[in-house]
Amino acid sequence: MRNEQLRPGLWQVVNDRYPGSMITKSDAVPLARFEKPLSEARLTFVSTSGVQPKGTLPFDVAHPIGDYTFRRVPSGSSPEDLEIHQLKYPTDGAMRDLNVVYPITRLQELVAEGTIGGLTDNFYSFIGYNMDPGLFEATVAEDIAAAVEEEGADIALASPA
Amino acid sequence: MSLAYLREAVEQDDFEKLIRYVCLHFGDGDDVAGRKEIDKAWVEALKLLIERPPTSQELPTTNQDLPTAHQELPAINQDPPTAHQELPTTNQELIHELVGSQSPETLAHLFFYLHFYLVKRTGEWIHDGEL
Repeated sequence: MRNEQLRPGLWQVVNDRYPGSMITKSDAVPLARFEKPLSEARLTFVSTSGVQPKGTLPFDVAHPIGDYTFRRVPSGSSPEDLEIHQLKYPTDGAMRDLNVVYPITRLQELVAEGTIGGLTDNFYSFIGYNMDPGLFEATVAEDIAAAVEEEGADIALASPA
Repeated sequence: MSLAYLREAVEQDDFEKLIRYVCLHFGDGDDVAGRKEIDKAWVEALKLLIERPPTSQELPTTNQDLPTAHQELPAINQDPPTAHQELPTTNQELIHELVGSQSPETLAHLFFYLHFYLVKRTGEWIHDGEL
């Protein structure tokens, strides 16, 4: 498996802009080997994009330490059902085509054509601005992991925005 | 900046580190932009208040989003108002009651929230990539 930085210098830029934000983790859980054919697997999608169903409580983009909540996004949603509450990346393109950051339509299409076996009832979304990694792990990460397991996901597609 | 970095800055009373963090937050990673954002928020607040000083005449709260006499004020650290309690009907009353009834953490949170509210009112919104 490749384990290299695809954009050399990016982490240094992040560290310059947010000093001390780059952390190392020595007890990471190794990735599970995916044995099932994709065409038989149920996939879930986890995103830092701040995408959420319209009408749900907007993510808190003002708090200086971040928002440690997540939203369930029904996997059958259309982009018109969703909106973005996030400040830390330029959202103008994603506002025009949500699939740029949250490829929900593409995943639905892959299921319809049989490439993917199915989708979990919900996808998961949160904002990537979280300054307390320990709190993030204990709340958002644990809660989403439990929800994904409960929904019977075989594979999780995780995407930063 | 990580939380550990911020805690260290607080312990060391390092004002520059702390305000840089605030500026980075408001400027989406650009502290120079963030300093301008702070100025924009304060100027917008000032402009809104130039023609609205408190007077002895009652000034109704005008923002439709704020609680009215018919709505319950969202009280986080105390019981909701009862039928016997008077709800604020002026800006000054509302602010006085809010600051007196809510926790410092809630008010600090509101302070950050209001920054973005005021900046958005200026029409110069740097956070979506359109500028």
